[in-house]
Amino acid sequence: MGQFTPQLRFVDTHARGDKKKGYQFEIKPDISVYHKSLADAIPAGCNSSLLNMHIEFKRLSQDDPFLSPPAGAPDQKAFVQEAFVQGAFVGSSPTHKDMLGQIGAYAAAQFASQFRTHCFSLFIVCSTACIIQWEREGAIITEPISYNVDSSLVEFFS
Amino acid sequence: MNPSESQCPHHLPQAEMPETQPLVSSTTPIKHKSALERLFSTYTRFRHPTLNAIGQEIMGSIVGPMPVDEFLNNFLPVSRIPNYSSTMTQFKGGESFCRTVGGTAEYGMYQPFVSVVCTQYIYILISAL
Repeated sequence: MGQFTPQLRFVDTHARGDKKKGYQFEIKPDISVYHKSLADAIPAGCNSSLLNMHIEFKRLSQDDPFLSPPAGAPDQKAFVQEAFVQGAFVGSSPTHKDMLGQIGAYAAAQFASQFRTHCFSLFIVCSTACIIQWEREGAIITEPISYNVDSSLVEFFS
Repeated sequence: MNPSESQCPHHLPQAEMPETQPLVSSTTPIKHKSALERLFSTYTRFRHPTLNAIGQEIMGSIVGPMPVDEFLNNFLPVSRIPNYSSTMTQFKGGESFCRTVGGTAEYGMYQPFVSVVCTQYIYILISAL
């Protein structure tokens, strides 16, 4: 166990954020992921200019701004229909906007300090995870991955 | 300046939710504890207004949900990784992430998750919290 990501290093940064990225608040992803090649340069907190990707955890499903349900969920059609009616699968409630803004701010800080065309992040809500590819004009979200039974997340990290 | 900024120096200025919007749940009252005021907590009652604005701005630029296999094949094709050797054989479906999924609090999910995917985990305890 513990060998899925031999090239990456994970740092708990939920309480030690990056304060110098132009926002009034700190950039504090729950987990900051750095490449192992940084070696001793890996910071003890979040450093957006060195960050490889960030991971954000949420425990409650109501914080999930993406309306798509886990694969096999009984009410999957209802979710899809709601997303179709709204023209998007992103929820529009204040909570959903807050959540989207939070992970968007992390990605924006990373883009602002690195020469990247894209970056990845992981958004975990309880037992499901979404992989996000951020680009400078938007983001692409995967279906929710039930990561305890589906090996797709491990494939992503490997 | 928002009055809350000067009254609460340890916390960021928080946006007030419209009265017509349910805070977290329309049925269960939320106890006002310090956890509610912690930035980026699971409870979303108090959030920085900038975050809401960012969310509003990028809502129309989000596309998905994309099938995972398609996503990985398009954006992370293993065929283009030199000397690639998969570590997926160590994954045990239904077992590997049991502790993460079973965590009762958000903080309790970090360490179990990372201990599965990576041996190098740095945990910094901030006593101020």
